[in-house]
Amino acid sequence: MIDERVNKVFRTVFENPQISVNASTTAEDIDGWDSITHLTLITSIEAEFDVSFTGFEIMGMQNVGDMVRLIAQKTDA
Amino acid sequence: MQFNTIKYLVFLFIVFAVTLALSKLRNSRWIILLLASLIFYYTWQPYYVALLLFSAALVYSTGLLMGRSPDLKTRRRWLWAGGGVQLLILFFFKYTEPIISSITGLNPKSAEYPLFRILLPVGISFYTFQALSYLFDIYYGFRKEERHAGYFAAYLTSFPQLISGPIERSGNFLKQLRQPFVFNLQETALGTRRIVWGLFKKVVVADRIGAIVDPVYYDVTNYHGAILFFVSLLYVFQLYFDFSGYSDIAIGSAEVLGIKLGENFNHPLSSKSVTEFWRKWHISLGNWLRDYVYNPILFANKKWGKSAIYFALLVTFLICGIWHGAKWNYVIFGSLQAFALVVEAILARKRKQWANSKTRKVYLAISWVLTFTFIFISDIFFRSGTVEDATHIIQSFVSSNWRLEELLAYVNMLTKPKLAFSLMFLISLIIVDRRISQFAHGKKDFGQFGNALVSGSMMAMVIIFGYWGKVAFLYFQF
Repeated sequence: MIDERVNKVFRTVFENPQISVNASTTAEDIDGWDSITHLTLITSIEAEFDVSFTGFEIMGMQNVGDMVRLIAQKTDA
Repeated sequence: MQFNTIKYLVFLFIVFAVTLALSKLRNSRWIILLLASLIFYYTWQPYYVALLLFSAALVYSTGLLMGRSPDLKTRRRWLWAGGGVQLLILFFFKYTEPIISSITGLNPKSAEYPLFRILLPVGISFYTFQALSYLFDIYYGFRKEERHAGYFAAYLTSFPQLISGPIERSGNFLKQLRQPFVFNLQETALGTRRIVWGLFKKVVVADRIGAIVDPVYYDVTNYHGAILFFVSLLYVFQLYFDFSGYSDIAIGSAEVLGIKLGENFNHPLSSKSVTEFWRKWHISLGNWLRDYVYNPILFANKKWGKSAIYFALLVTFLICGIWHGAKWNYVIFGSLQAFALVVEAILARKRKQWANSKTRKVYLAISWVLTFTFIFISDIFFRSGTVEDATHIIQSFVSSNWRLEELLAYVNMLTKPKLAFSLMFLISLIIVDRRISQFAHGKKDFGQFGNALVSGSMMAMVIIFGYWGKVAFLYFQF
């Protein structure tokens, strides 16, 4: 469920309906995912799930899997 | 021991031979690399070997303490303590003299200067960057602390990247160093090819161009538009071929020893935006700044929305400027980069539309001209000793007193064949750069005969036309 919603956010942010992310997806795999669009992505994810990440949490995200795990932790609590 | 000396090539060959001879012995790699690196550094500045080892011990133990800390708060404290001391060491050596001289108004080189001269330890910026990246990576959970002191010291002091980078992350480097060394003729050949290519850029092209640029920049106030334009344009290429040539030698040297370092340049002068330029110019520094300065500032202030991006860019590039030296010309250099990047970030959506429109080719051509002009102007601040010099140069471009005859007289004064050769080499290098780079990266094959011909002629040109060991690499001063 989280995966699907995350994927939807990716498609909107990067304006590409073909995008399909999985746990091991990183910035290198997606066209246009740079240090500037990363902020839009993070704030869109936060809005979608009504969560808030700390700077430290965002810095530690190495791939989409890390992001999904954090969302799961935050929405469970 | 500069990279552009025969001594260095002999040294590298010996390190390679010893690594190969002892490759069956377990753990021999870090010992050989560490010893070689210390000897290498000793030939630069014998006293500062102690400082280098102190930094290695400091950062290694900070890593251990961070790894043992149960909670984030304690880890952060150790990060600030250990990383802070290392930064203070860098600040002391880099900024004490400029600060004292700005307070007292005395030139550090004058006899009345109150303190003894502080000699900058070579490479201190670069090994400090590697040290901080190691600590940040532990802090953010990208890696565990390195428990083996020898491996850690070999990483921090590794001679190919010790003096001017590429700034390498510890995880990538140590994973490779832990593998046993396996001789692979193709890799050794590629590494050697890369070194020869780097030497060509440096000793054949950059140093020759430097010999034309330097006399004018030595006292710019004496010159006018035409000549200043000519040498400033040449400098853009001198800086690129000098520093990318250095990086090629560093990457090639590591490759000969079986370690792949990250790339540092990717044809930045063909960039069509300043944003693209910073992804292709001094890549390892750009990544470092992005990961450890820009992103933390950005995400700490993410509530500000887009303004957080502009703020993070400004702080990051001011730091980038001041890192090059505590001088106003570098502050302006950094601010110019930040300004251009902010403008491009604001126009990001529009730029994407233009790039996808029917007039794409026109848009790209204009973008390239604008970007190159921007690099050209900001490099004038980079090269000039003072802001006054830089503004004099830029003003001279728009002044009506262009004085073409001054340029012609200068050209006449230079020995003709020498000048002709230098410009011919430069122009042919610009034309073949991309193709030969691919060849040096092992991504292009000219056939058996062609490969031998290209390698052979590169080597011959380096030997015949090279300015061996006469000119230091431009980035050694940072």
